[in-house]
Amino acid sequence: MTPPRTTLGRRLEMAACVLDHEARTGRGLGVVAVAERIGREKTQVSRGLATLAEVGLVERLADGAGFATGPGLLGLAAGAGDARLVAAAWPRLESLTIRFGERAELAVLDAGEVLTIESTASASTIQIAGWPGRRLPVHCTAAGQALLADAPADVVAGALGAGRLPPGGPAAPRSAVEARRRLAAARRAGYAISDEELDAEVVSVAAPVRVDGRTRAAIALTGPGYRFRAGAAEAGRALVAAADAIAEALAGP
Amino acid sequence: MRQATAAARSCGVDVLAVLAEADGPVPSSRIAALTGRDRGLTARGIGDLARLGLVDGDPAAGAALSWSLRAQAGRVVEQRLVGRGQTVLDELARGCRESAYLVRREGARSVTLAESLPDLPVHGGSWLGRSQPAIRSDAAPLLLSDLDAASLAAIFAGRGTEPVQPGEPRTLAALERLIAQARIDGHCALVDYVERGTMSIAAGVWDFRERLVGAVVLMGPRDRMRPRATRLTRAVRAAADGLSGELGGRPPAGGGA
Repeated sequence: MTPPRTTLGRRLEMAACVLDHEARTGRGLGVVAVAERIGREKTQVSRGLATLAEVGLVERLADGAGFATGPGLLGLAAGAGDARLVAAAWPRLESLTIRFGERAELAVLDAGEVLTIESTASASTIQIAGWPGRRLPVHCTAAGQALLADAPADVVAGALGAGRLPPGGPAAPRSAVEARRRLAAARRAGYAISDEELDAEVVSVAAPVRVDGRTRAAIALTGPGYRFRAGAAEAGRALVAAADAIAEALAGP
Repeated sequence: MRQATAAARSCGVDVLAVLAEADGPVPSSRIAALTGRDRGLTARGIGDLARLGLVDGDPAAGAALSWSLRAQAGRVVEQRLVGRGQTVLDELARGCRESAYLVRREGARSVTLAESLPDLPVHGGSWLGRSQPAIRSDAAPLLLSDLDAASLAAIFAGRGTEPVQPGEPRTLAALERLIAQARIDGHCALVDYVERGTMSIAAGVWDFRERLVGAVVLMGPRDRMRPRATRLTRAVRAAADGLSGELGGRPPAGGGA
C-alpha cells in the first residue's frame, strides 16, 4: 500500500493498524509491532500513539499490553457506512435467524469484494462461520451475486473480469460467462442461491436491498446444505420480503 | 463542531468529526472550510484515509466514514465481549460471592459465553458454553427486549417442553410485561425462574451501535440473594455498564440508570 503522504494520514495509519489487529486477533499491539507493520521509527510511533491515546482514538492497555482501539474510534464507527441502513436491517436479520435458525448477514460491495457488515449467530450446533469485517469473493457467494445482479455493466466487468475466475467451492462458476449466467438467474428470481459455490456443504441465499433503483446492500441466510438446502427457495422469498421492508424503511424521511 | 484541541487536530479528529456528523459524503473542499485546513492538504489527507480503509469515496466527489471501519469495530466488539467480560465477571463474583455469567441471545436461544463461580459449597453451577431456549434464560426479559412482536410470539410458541418453573411466565402477555418492566428498570430480577429456589439479577450490555449484545447475570440461592438484592442489583448494573463502556456503548436513556 502507498505510504500516507500527509501528517493526517501518518497519524491515523497507526490507529487503523491497531484497529485491524484487534479486529483480527482480539489483542492489543505494542509500539514495536506497530512500528514494524507500518515501517516507521519506534520513537515516532511511540509519540504518535501517545497523542492518539490522548484524544481517545486508541487506548493504552494495562500491564504494558500495548494499545487497543479507543472509545473515540468506536464512537466514530457508529456513524460509519450507512447507520440508517444498518438500523433498518438489523431487526429483520434477527427475525430471519429466528425463523430459519441460520446465520443472517448484511453485506455490501467494497473494493470488489463482499464485505460483511452485520452477522447474527445461529444457535445450532453446526453453523456456518461469519463475522463483521469478513471479506469474500463476489463470484461464488449469494450475497455477491445479489449485489451484482442489477449492477451497471462496468461494475460487473470490474468484479468478474473477462477470463477464468479464482477457484471457489465445488460448484463455483469457473468463468465470467458462467458467472454472468448465474447473475441473470438471480435477477429473474429476485434472489441468488449459492449451493457449494463458496465451499463444500455451504448453502447461501441472498436478496439485494434496492433503494431508489440502486442496490445498496444484500441480506443473506447461510447454513449447511443438509439442513438448509431444502428450504432455500422459501428463504429466498423471505429475504426478498425483508429486503423490500428495509428499502421501504429507508425511503421514508 | 466543537473547537478541536491541538492534539485532536493533529490526529485529524476534526476531519473525522466533520465526516461523522454529516448525512452523506462530504467533498474535501467543504471539510477544509469547516476545519480551517488547507484545501490541497485536506484532499491529500482524505486520499490517505481512503487508502487506509477509514473512509469511502474520494476527495472531489465526497468522502464518508467507511463501511470497513464499521465492520471492523463490530468485530472488535465480538472479540472484547468475552475477553474483557471475563475480567468483569471475576470482579463481580468476587465482590458479591455469587456466580456471575455473561450470556447473549443467538436467534431463539441463549448461550453462556463466560462465567465466574465463587469458591463456596453452594453456588450457581457451570453453564459455560451451554445453550438453552432464550425464554428460559435468567436474563430472558432483557435478551428478548429488542425483538419485534412476531419474533417474540414465535419464541414463546416454541419454548419447548421442559417443566415450567414457578416464576416463569405462563402467557405471552406475562412475558411482555416482564420485558416492559426490564426496559424501564434497565435490569431484571427473577425468582424461581430458571429453577425453584434460585434468584438471578441481570443487566444489559450495550455496544457502540446502541445494540444489546449480551447481559451480565448474577445467580445463586434465592434465600441468600434476596436480602441483599438492592446492593447486588447495583453491583450487576455497574458491571454491565462497565463492560458496555469497554464496547463504546452505554445503556439507553430511561433504562433505570
